[in-house]
Amino acid sequence: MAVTGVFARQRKHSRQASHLLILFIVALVAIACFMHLQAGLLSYLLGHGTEADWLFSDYALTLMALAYGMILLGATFRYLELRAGGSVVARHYGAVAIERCNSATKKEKALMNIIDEISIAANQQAVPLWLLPQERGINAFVVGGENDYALVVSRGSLDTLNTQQLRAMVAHEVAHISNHDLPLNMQVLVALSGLLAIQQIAKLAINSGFLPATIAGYALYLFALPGVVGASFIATAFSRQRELLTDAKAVQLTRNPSGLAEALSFANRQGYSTRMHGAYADEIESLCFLPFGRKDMTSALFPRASVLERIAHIDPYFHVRKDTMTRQQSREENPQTVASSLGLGVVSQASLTNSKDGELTLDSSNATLGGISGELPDQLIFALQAEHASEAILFALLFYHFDGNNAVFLKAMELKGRHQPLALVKRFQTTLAGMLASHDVEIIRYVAEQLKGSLSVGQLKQLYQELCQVSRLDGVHSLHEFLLLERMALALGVATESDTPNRELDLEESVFLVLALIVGASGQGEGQLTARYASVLKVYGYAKVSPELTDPSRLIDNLKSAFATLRGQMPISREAFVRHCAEIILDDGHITRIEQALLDLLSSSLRVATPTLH
Amino acid sequence: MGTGIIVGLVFLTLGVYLVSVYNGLVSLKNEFMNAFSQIDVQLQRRYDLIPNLVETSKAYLKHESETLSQVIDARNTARDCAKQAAKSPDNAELVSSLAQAESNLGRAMGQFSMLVESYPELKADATIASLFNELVSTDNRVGYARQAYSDAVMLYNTEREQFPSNVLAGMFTFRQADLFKVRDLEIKKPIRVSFA
Repeated sequence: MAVTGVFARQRKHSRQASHLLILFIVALVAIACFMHLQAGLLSYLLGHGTEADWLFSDYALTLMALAYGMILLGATFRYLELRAGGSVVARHYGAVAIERCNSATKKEKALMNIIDEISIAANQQAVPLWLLPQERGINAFVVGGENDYALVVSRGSLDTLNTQQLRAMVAHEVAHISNHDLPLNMQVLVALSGLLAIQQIAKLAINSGFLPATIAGYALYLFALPGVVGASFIATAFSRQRELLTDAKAVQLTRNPSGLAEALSFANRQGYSTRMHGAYADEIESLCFLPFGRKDMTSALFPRASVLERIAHIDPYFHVRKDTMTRQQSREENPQTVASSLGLGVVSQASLTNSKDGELTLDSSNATLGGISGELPDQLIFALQAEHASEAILFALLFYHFDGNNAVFLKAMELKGRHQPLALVKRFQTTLAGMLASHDVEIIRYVAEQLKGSLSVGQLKQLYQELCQVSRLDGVHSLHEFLLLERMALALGVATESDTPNRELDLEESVFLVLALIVGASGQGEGQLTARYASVLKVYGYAKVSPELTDPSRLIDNLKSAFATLRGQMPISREAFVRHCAEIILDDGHITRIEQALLDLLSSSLRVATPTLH
Repeated sequence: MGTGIIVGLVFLTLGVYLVSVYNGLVSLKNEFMNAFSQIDVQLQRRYDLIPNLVETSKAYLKHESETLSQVIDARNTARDCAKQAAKSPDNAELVSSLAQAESNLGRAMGQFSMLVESYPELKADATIASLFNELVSTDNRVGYARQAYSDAVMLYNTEREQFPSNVLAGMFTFRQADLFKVRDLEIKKPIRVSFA
């Protein structure tokens, strides 16, 4: 949510919440009527009313009076509990008050300072701080009523969140007070707890062990069920709108949407527990900064606004921006490692030139990179946020370079039970085909990081095997497919296929094969390049490569064998060879995708440390 | 008879509606005036800190009396402006002159901070460090108070410009409120103090 749109967003959520509140009241009236109808029907069936007055027979009215009595009793009981001041409720949860004195720790003082600042921004009194010393999870809530509020924060939040995130959390809680959520929440809770009281009595009767009481209990339970479920649905929807409204208000107070999105994302990403303990913890959940993340039926039926949904409302492009920032940050911290992890080997975003002293240097000023940016476009990152998108895009990459019948490829995926990725593969093919071609290296690197974080090693291996199987469907394993799969394997950290090469190549043949491929991929003409790089190629005794080595049917096996042989050489030789290959590739100042893929695979396979290119 | 009742009801409804609009305007006006008083509280806190800071620095800055007197002059002017503006926050001219005085004070404090930077023994003084920390904290609070004031003013101005509130605003002199804008870009930056 842009800060400038925060007021409009607040108006929208406020309007929707008002509609839901009206709906809630209407629903309560409807529930009362429905219960009355049930009571009337029951009295008629039991022969206590005539056709004319079955709805208002003495029996029906007595039944309703009993039901309303129970509702009133339950509601009054809960009202008395909730109207107790914030300090009473906070103490009830095991929180301790943090006083503004020297005994407060540095972190506690900093938090109190934040509360003061946010309270000023909200133009209201500073809320007293209470701490849950035993609660290691990340969460906070506000309780109490007029002039006696308490802001309760878990120890985990204080220890884990940074200042911006704490500020956002405090702003969210203070916003609950500004929006008058506490009295509203109390009214909704009181209304609900009245209805729930009937169910509680019914449960007591069911568990009594006395058959007539059990039957009566079930009847009472069913009697109240529609009311409870209906009211709960509306109350949940109302609570969701209030939550989004509170987030909008919190952004208004901090003027920093990223801070709030960051705090929500942090807790969600780290998987910290957000569960609060204590009596009525479930009821206070709607006022908590983060949902408890329960997986029970109630949570499934009446879900709170999820963290991701809230982030999307606060800042729809938060994840995209965050990914970009993370990549920029890590590149600044360690450019060589990142260049390597990007799969760009010794050349990432610049061209190689020969300096006067013969040392290979890197010059970014005159490089033409053929569209290789090293960055994943935002559109791609956005597309990759979808569920199963990471797996799907790997299949989509293979599919893009698949030479056989497309229908066969898609059918094979379906047979593998990958229905959800299949739908995405089709979508990626139609919407992102151009990007699949131009950003394959970056996609593999990015997706591999995502998958390594969410899948086990076994699952990664299985995924890689399925990719291999699907790519072999046409009976042809093209060089491009081979390069793709090898890079996927390296990025995913799984062993490549254990096919043994049909024949081992010696060093000379290995060098020839790789150089031939690189020269061939450069598109400049072999004669032209061999003349210019005669001195380099002479080192390897380069001659025209034997056609047997580049035979398409055996090329992949030969290349595997060549890599295996080259890997056995001394590190200094391997490094020099990779640098020479890079030099040839960059001769025209332009790196094609196939050149880049080859170089990337070569440096990775030969386990060459990125050379110093300055 | 019947028509008279209907007309009476219409007038009654209209009257109730206009009263609620008027009350809404009064609430919003009080809200932004209260928000201004928050700025005033924080500014007073700031004005109280500055003489302490100057007094403590005097021992080290014997040859910088001109800068110190500039700070004190700017502080006194700003304090006087704040007093006047606090009496009548809906007076746009007074609020504007306070903003101007705050700009001058901010500039003087900027020069003072630079001076502190060039005196290592002054930077090392624990009292000075503590006072500067307090000043920075107060500055943050002034910022938040100004933000709350701006929000309240925006809501009030929006309401008083909408129909039918604008009619009532004209009749009952609900004047347009002025945002507390700091015109000097330099002082929008927080005071930079480093005791590393």
